[in-house]
Amino acid sequence: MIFTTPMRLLAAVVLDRSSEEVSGELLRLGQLEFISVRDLTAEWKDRVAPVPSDGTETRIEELRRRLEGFLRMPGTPVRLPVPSLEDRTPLDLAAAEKALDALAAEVGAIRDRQKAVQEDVLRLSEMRRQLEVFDDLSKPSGLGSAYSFLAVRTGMVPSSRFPALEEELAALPSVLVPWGDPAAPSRSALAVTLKKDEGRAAPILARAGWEDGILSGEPGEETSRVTPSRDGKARALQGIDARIAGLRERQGMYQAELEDLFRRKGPDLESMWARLRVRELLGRVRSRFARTERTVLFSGWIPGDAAAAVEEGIRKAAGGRCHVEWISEKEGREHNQEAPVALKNPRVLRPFEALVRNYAVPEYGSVNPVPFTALAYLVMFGLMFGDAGHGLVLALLGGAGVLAARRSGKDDTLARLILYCGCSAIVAGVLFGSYFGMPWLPPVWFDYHGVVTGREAGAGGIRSVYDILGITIKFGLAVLGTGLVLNWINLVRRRRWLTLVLDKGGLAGGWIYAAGTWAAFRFVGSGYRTLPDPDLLFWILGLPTLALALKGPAEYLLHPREHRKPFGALTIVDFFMEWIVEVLEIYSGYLANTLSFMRVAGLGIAHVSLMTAFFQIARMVNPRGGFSAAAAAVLVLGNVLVIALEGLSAGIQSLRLNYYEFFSKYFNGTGRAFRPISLGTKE
Amino acid sequence: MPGALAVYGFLNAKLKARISGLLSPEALETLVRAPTLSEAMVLLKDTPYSALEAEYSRTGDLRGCEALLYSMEVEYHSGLERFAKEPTRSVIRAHAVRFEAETLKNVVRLWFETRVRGRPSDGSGVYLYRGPLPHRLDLDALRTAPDSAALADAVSGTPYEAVLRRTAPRAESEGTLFPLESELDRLAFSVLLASLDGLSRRDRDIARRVLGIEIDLHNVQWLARAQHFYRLGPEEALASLVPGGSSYDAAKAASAYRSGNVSELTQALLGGRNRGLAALAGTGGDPSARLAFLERALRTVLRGESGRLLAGHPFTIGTVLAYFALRREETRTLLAILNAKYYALPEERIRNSL
Repeated sequence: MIFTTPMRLLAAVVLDRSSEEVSGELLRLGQLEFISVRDLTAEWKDRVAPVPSDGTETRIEELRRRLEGFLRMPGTPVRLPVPSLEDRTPLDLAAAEKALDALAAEVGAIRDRQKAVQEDVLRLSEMRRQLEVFDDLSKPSGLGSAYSFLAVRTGMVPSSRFPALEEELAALPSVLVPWGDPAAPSRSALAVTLKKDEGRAAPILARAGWEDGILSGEPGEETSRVTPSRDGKARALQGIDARIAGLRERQGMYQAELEDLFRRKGPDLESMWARLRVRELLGRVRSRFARTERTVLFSGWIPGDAAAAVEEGIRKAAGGRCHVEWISEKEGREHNQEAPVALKNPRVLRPFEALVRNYAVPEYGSVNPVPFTALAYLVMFGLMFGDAGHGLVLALLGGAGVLAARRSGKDDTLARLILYCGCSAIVAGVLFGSYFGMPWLPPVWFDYHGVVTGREAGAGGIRSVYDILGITIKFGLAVLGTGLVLNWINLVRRRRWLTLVLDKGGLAGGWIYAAGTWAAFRFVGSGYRTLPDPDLLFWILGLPTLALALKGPAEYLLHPREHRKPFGALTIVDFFMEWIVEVLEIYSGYLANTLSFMRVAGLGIAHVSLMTAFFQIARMVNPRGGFSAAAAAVLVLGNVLVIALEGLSAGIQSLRLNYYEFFSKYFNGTGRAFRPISLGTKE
Repeated sequence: MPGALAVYGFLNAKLKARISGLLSPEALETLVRAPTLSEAMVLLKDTPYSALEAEYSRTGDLRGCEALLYSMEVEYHSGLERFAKEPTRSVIRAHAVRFEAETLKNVVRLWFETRVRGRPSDGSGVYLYRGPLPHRLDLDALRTAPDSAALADAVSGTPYEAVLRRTAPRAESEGTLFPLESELDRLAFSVLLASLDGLSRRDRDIARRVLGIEIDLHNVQWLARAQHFYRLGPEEALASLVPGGSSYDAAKAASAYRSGNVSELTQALLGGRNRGLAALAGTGGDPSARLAFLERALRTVLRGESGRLLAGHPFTIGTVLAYFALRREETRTLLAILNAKYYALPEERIRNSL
């Protein structure tokens, strides 16, 4: 865990007839990142050929992807299982394609039904929009203009035929509003349809014995005088709304039908997916094999601690008829095969591994940055967001996120990070005695709020914001110092002795940084009056600075003669310029890196100040004291704002300090991530 | 005038983040390869277009999804206004006029179908964009306007009133929307060109270059429609072109238009700027296919120009215009793919149409 996982390079030969079993075993073990055997040694290049493919790889992959699409169709997507080698039962690809086509047809049929309902919804919505612009259906003039898309009729219909009329008209985007006594032999009614449907509506009305009428008071023949309905428009609109609601319900039913379809077919689809996936992965393993007439050869990187298990697995699968050879990482490098980087971290550190990978993959064989990043990140966050109450809220949010992610099968990295940050803030809050900005319990270390607001002198010599700034600078020194030490360890492991001694990140740089820090503290300790003795300064700062000037010439001399540039006046200028730049980088860079940690104090102080401001606002809202809903609302809102804004700022700043100050001291992101083929491989 | 950093610092950072969220060519290819529309839709689930998938799985209505996509595009454009400072804000607002003109054209087409052609309303009115636009347009009054005068009255007080007063009677009497639509487009582009006047010289040059390509693209599309759909004569077809693109020789263009020689027409129309395209358009075969080819080529030019702008100076209007162009292109591509899936067109045909 302290360093990246040591890797071993495997080269193996097995009989062609046992290659199926071996590929299955390699997939089950999931520890091998294949490399091409042909690239390993030049002499094999022409002696081995690729394993012939059965030409189904693309078809299998496309089927698998198509199936994944189907599995994502329901509202709650079907969770993909981790396939097992038991799923190696043969699968008829043509039958699988046919099954998916049939499923697509079933889905398509449901969509068509949904579409038909939606068209009715839209027509009714359109009708509603039109109807709304009518003045009043109780007046003759309200029955619309010739330019509307609606056909509005009033008339009389025999009461006995009314239900049948209602049912038949329901097939069209329409609304039928009756009024008057239902027990009377005939009823007055208002029928609204779209003009384009008039051809279909007229026969329905005729069949029901509809008799067009005119509203009372309207000039015209005395054929059928209909009493106007005062609330005709409102009832028509209500009728449309009710029909739309009914249609929406039907749409919901179709959606439920789709969900049900996938619930029924889910197990078969999952099984099909697992079988496709296993075939795809086995094909992928076999595609990395090379073959001779009777044997297959393969090679790849394996984590050192899994080497024995992999060898045993290969021997077992090949029935002992195999040859396994292990090549050291150094030999691999000689064949231009750079070892991939695997980081073995406990599950609890996974969110920090994600942060590290987001930056880059560390160099093979270097210190594993994850535990150091985790520690630095959490301490930084706690110092910036030191409130137990706010931390508790974050922890609860993070915990809920973890549970939700676990339930939905989604990645929980961010939720876990929030949970850890919350826990860190709780610890810091207890140290500073801050609970939602209030001193409910005495601080274990010092009262951060008291120091910032000047309420009381802090304990342990922390009396002012300058002392808090001092703490964060010392914390920065510790972080940067750790970074330098980690860099030295990496350099020793890489045997880069010159860089270890004469580099800004090496011993000389560290010496200057330590001496500079000591001198700065002496100067501050003297009340900004006296610097250490100049002779001493020369020995502790001047000498290593001058020593750095040797780096350029030493590198030049150690460089192979044939690759060296010819020596001349410009070479000396180069040496000088490189030295000047290096020295400037050490003095200004390290100073800036250290002072950058003052942001930790800055954000912590901002956190306290914001809380103080909200307390003051709450007091202004309720100057008499006691409970006030408005003041409580201000405090709740204030806390929410502080948690959201400060939480985000502290998270980002902690990341920034890790990436730009800490990582720049020791992290060499030139590694390549280890990607074995396994049953759990994700695309 | 505020400096370029103050004007574009925040806005362009935001846009670059949005551009990084555009669908990758691989994602579009996966969409093309989806066997059915339902399967294509589900691929949009974890993309910025997840709302389309949600709408489709609720209603199964592709036209509703198209309307949603259109409203998303309008929102993507006009929503930027609140992050922009003058004079860039005016350019963004002027871009919204293009959407407004488009919405107006859509509603006038519905009016034309029912009032002039006497066809019953097919209910398409529900798909009209009813979100915020620079001017208040009463779409229902426009749709139900009894005649061309009432149509113009419905937009009184907007810049479109004069256009409708001039062209709507012709639409009514001659049964063609070509002059009306052409004038609306010219108006939208003229507003856009006028909005560039307030920009700094560097921004103005960039904006005119990009807009020039867009105008060329628009003009090529118009000519294709004029020739093959409306069957207009050269004078009327060339008069309907939007000024501001490549300068062209009217006489040569008219002669090429008349003879149907796409290569000559391209050369006359695009002048020196895209001379290579003229050669690519060729001489033989189906002229409409060659115009379609030319349109695709101009889209490629626009995409290339957008790429160049994004890789160039970060604090210019280039990022804004590149974003607009890429966003429009993505919407167009997405629409084309989804419609092709609806009609179950073969993959190769879809790829050729993109």
